[in-house]
Amino acid sequence: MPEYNPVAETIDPPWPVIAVDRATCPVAHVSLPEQDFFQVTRYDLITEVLRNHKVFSNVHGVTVSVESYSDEEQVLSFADPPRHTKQRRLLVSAFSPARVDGIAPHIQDVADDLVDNLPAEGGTFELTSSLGAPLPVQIICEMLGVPLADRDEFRRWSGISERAASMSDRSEVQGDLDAFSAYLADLVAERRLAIEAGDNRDDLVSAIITAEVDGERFTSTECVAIIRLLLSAGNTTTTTLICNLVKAIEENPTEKAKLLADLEGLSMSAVDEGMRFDGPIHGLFRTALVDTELDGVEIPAGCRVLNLYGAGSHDPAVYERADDFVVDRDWSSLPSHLGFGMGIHHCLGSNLARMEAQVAIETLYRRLPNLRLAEGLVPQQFPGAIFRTYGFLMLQYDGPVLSRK
Amino acid sequence: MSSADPSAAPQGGNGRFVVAVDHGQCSGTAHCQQSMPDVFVVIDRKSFIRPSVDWSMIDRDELEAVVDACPWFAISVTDTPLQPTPGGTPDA
Repeated sequence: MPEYNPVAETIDPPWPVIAVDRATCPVAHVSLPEQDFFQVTRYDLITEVLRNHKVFSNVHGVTVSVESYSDEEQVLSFADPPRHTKQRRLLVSAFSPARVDGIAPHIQDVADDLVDNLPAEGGTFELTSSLGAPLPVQIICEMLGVPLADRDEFRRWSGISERAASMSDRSEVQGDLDAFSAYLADLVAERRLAIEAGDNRDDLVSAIITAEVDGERFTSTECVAIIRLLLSAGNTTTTTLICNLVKAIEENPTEKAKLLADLEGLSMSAVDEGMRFDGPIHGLFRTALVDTELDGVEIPAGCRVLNLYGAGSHDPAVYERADDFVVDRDWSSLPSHLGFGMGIHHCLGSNLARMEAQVAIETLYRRLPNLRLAEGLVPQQFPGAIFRTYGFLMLQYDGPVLSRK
Repeated sequence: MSSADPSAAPQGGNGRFVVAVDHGQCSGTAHCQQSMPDVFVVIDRKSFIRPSVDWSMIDRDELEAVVDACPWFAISVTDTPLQPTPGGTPDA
């Protein structure tokens, strides 16, 4: 058994323990009362799994609980080619670098509006609720075409969906998950009727409803599953990216000084470093479709494999000072971190998440003088195998809030 | 190859086919570079075709597999031969 137990509810940084496993048993069999899987902690082995989608499947779920999805529910992260390919091909243009660059000024406006809501004379605020969550929620809701009045409830549901990913027993949140699905089903039904009545809108829900693959459209069940996944996979993960990044900046004063000396020049490399150092997704599962082996370890068909992205991104064979937060790494010459995954399931929203996080930290550090962690408040992480998320992050700054660019 | 290398291009090929990268879609995930490092190089989150590819050594099936595996569907291989450019030869 490896030293690191991803299911244990620990809030301590896992990197020292993971380093032991990476060195001694990079592919380790984990047998727990409710879980049995192979845990992978070395960068090259994780990428070997992620790139071999013909052997390592997504259709039995990528989170803690083993799922049995109907064909219609097999969408994106929960689908294999060719089904996955068709779905993703329809969606990539909506999240392409070119499209995200086009909405960057609007993302900046939203971030500035949120900072404008903070006390002008200085004070303390909680980052998650003040900016980390509202920014990505507003942007994705606008992209989807979700009514403004529903957005707070939307944010709550998407947060619950993400927390459910770390649960082996979801009975506690099943009511909320069902309510979320029912809301999305109503949204799709209403939009479908509107489209049939000639009311075509330029939003993602309409695009998903009207998309045709080989002459066929998605069923309503597929539409709901796709929209739910776009939200649950991309909403609070971006919130977490922003908050984990700010925490890392604040806990590394030398790196913070470098960043503030060249905020616009280093903000994007800081975002990538944040994803590498303490990204929102700690690990995701795959399921072996056939008997296979990894680094000499036999993995029978049907067994699950937990790829610890965080462990791979801290692999010293790939990154110098792997356990340090370094804002000015030259990402143009480094292997991709695993914060957005790798292979055909590489995070569809990665360009959007990067842009939102970049805008967020530039805006926070440009407009809030002497921004820092609030004294006496220790951030707490939600424990679990899938996400690394802080429950709250109190910050403090001196007034006055500076004007927009 | 550094980011300052002026010779990397978003397309390359030989007399049989052309490989092209759509930079509007490419998100620099580098799957292509890791699969076929002799052909692709990622510079500032965009994939380029290396200027020195020995296309006679390139396995077309392997290239097609890289095309299929690109998560952004940004790479294409077409059978149109790359035409010589004025003042020089294509990246043969």
